[in-house]
Amino acid sequence: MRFQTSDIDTYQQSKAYVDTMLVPLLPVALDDDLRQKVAMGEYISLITMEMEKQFRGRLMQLPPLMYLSSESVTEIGERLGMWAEAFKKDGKNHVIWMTSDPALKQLEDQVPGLLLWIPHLPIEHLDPNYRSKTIREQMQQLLPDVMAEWRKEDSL
Amino acid sequence: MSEKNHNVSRRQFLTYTLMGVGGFMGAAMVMPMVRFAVDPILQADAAGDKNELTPLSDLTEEPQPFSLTYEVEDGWVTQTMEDTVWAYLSGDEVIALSPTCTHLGCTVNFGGDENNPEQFFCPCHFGRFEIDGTNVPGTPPTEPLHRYDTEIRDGVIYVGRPQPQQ
Repeated sequence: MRFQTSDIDTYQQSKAYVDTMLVPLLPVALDDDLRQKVAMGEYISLITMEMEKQFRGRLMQLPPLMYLSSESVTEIGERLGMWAEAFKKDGKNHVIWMTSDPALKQLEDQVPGLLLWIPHLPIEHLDPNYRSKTIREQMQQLLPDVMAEWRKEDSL
Repeated sequence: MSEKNHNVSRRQFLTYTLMGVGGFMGAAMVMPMVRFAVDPILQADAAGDKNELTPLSDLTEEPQPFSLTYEVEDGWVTQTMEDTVWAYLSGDEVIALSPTCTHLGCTVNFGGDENNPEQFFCPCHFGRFEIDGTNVPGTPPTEPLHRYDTEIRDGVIYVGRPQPQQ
């Protein structure tokens, strides 16, 4: 489900079935590396959309969580921890964080929930048909990780 | 020269000209309105159109996923959409099912559950469907998978939009 009014009624009726939050993480900095950041953000948004399409009945996709590239990884980790805590209070059992920022890879074992680090592919240069195929293939590779996360009773 | 020597008097000329111009102006206003009113009738055929799925020879008795591309017009924007359709042969009949779980809309897979290889399986809440799309009682979905109407032209399968099965 998405964070939009058309999905919220369904969400409220079937709250008990939606136990997972899906949060894309986007680094922002208006520096020389801007192009790379934008490409990364685009890529993560596409994969997140595909993930939502696949599992829309069990997860709620939130708007991207932005952070400054200048923030320290520890700070970002703490912030994610806070969010996870809040989701847990609302009865959610899982969070899936989506990122392709190499700096966040080290958080994989530290943050609560499942942090999917997906190396960025330069798909913006691809032909649109081939692009959606690539995204779907990437998504297929992530499925086992998501299934494994769901096998844990309660990961938060 | 007097008016009588003319075939068309000044008065008549003005009347004709005004009528002509008035007629054009009237038509210019009424035509778009008529077109808007009639438009849905002209469009009806396009909406009922089917989209090409795959050659009939690709189908087996085992359901396989095929990708279906079609165009959606939303206002002035035309978008190309891509859906997956699971299709198989049951005797001579082509059965094409939508993989959207009727519970909360996740994507189901055929044989996705090791314990039930002959069923469609939804990974979200373990909903299951028989091969013909009927929901397995005791699992979350409450209605069968939606089914596409199919048509075969020159050995190629064309499908419409998925409809609820009753």
